[in-house]
Amino acid sequence: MERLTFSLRRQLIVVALLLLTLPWAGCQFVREMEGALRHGQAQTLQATAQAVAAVVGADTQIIYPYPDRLSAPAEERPSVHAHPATLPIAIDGYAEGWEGTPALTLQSQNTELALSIKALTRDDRLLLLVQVKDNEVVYHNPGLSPEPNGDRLVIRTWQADRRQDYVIATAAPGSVRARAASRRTRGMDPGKIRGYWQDAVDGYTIEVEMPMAMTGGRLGLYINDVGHGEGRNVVTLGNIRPLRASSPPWLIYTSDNLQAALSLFDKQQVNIQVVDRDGWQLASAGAISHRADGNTFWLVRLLYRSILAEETLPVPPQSETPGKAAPAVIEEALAGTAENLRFRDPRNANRNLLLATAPVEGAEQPIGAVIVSQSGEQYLSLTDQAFSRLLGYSLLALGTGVLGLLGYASVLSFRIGRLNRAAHSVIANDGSIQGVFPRSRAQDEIGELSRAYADLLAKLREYNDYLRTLSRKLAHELRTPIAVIQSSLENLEHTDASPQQHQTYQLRAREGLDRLKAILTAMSEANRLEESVRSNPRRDLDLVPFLLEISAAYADVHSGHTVRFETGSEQANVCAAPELLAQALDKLLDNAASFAPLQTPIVIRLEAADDHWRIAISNEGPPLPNELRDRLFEPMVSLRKGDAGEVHLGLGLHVVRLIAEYHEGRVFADNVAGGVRFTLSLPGDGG
Amino acid sequence: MPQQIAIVEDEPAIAANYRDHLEREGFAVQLYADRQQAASAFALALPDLAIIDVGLGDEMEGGFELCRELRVRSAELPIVFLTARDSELDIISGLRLGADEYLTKDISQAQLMARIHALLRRVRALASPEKKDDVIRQGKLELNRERMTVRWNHQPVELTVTEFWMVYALARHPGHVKSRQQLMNSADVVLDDNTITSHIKRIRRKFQTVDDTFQNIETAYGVGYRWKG
Repeated sequence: MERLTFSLRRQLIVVALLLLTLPWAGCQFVREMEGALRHGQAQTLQATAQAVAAVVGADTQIIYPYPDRLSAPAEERPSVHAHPATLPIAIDGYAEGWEGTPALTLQSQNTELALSIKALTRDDRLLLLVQVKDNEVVYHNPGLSPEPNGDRLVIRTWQADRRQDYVIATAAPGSVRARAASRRTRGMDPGKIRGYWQDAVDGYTIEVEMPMAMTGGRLGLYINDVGHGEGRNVVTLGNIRPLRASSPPWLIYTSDNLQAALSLFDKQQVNIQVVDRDGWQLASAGAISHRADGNTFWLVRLLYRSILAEETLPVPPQSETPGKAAPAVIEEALAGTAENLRFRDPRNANRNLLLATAPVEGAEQPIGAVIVSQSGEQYLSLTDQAFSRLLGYSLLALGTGVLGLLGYASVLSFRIGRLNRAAHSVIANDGSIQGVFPRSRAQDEIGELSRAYADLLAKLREYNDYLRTLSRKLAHELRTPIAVIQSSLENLEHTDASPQQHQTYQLRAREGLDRLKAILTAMSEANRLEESVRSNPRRDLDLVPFLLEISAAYADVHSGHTVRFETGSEQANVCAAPELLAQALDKLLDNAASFAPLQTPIVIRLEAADDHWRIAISNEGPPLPNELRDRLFEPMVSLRKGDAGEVHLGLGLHVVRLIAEYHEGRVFADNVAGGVRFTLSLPGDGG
Repeated sequence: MPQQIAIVEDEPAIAANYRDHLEREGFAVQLYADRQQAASAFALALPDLAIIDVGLGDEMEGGFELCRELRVRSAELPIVFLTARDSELDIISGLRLGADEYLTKDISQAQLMARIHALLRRVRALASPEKKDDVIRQGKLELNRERMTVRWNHQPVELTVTEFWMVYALARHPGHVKSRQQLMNSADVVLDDNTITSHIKRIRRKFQTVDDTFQNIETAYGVGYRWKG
């Protein structure tokens, strides 16, 4: 085969490709599932956020230890933001333990001076770490004046609507204490502010601690950087201005109440942050866990991620101010609406974060927000497993399906091929049919095809045999009259034959010739019949009047016999071609008349049998020989003795059979007491 | 005393014509229209030669039956089937039943006469002592023209008269190709090519029954046959 045949097997393989929709559907399913799980997680987070918000919002003071802050105008100046210290911190002027604490950095505009302020709360104390970048540290010189006259730090607090300024200056690195820098008021206790002054590489570091209560909820800081030389010009840098009498900016810190409230939620694998109205992160509890289920095979995980790689998520926005939550995250919550957000984990592009924000309701408007975040791994790991199982199942189903289809296709191909081979083996090259075609017993279409083939071949064989025997019988039939003519002519050629004999021979030759003609006539009659059978349409016909008419007409023609018609039915409807039916009955009646002794009756009987009508024509006479009974309706089979001048080619009954078969009926003959009965059975309403 | 020929034939016209012809040739002829008549007549006396039609009246195979009965009674009686049926199967069954010749009815009377004379001559020859000069030897083959008998490797091979003349024509000139027409002429028959082929096949088979290595009749495709000396 030059061309690639599109065999059944290949076709089914192509069809099997449709099974590839299975993994696709699986992926869709996984995505759906992931969506559902994510949604569920978001709901859970949201609920957590709401719960935290409810707890935190139960009392305004939890977020705002100094409720005045709520009614205060918005703060323009940078605030100091004190975080709860997680570890004990030694006050020694060194920055150990402060790592990771957000710093408030200030930069002088026209000098190198820079300031970084870090604040922590521990129990009821406020710890401050002030790192100053100063390329020239000028220490306090008690010799110049008792007032601080070198580089110094001023801390301003606010109690009872008054400001208190404390100054920290030192003549040398080491332990320091504050001194009051303003008029002493009640509650001022500089001695409680103590710490250490240490030199640093490019400046100095001051670490101090003071009671939280002293701050009055506000804290301002500035340093005075004294230059050397003439004039001693002083540069001030801080979040307050030295000479302003207004209150310093609010100190942002986590109240004990808030800590206590959040500790309730500490055990969860979520991170909870509470921010105030201005976005300051007051507290954070719990750590985001990225612990994923380690059971998933890495390749599956990779595949899975690539399937789920959907819209690329943004990284979470960072706020410009350290210690503040990104406005994008909390603006909705601060406006009073809870919200769910998703971000890409900035530390791992494959992970994502889920955030839920909820407003902390105040008296009139939200006084803060709760941000709950959790790693997407929490539900991804679930679907990972599900996905790997699904992948396994899909592959299994796919494999099974493909193999099954292949096997099935092979079986089909084999069966059809077998059918093909059988057909080829049965039909010889010359078109004749030899051997037996195996009939399949399968109940499907191929079985039906095989049976149809078998039937077709059987019919074909029958027809072939018929044709073959026809030609043989015809040769036989023709040879006899030819032999008669030939031998008569040869005898005629003999000179010593007498005139009488001449006449005899001529007569015989003529008879032979007549027989030849009669044979040809009968043959063409049979041929014509086969054609006319096809061109004679069938219509509804009532057999009773039809047979009455036929029997009457026949009785007139054959005076030698009485023709009787008997029936018990009023009406017998069949679908038949009346001309053909008449022709068949004519042949049968002719047959009966030629075998029945003179003056004996010929009986035509119509009776119902199941859903057939049977027309039986019986006559007295010699019985049918057994071996000829079945072959009686084949062409060229005749029982009649060859009476002189009468040709019986044995086509009459064959014609009857053709007509019966055209009507989907049949004709059969049997011996009855003292005679013979031919029955023509036609399908009808059966009375 | 003319020789008796029995014709068993159910077509009266044909039977009468053959009878007239044979009587002109000097034979005494009896006609029988069916098997019963013939059988009862043969029970009394056997003819010198029987011409039998295969299909006799209602009996499709009546002639074969009759032939079998005759063969049982006499091994030498020449039996000729003269029939309208010429299928290979019929010919083979006829010959297997011991007929000496199987002829179809369209054979000319001259050919029929030649056959009848040959058969009767063979019967006579078989009865008389064998003459040396009638025998032609060709390798393992011995042909007796007079008796129309064939021996291969000193074993007799039973051939019909037609077959004998074909073998004779082939073996006379070993190596020469004889066309089908020449074979027909030598055997004095008119046959179609297929019948010649089946005759040759039958001849080979008969030789192979006495010697299964027999391969002396070669087919020259498209031309005819030759005897390999």
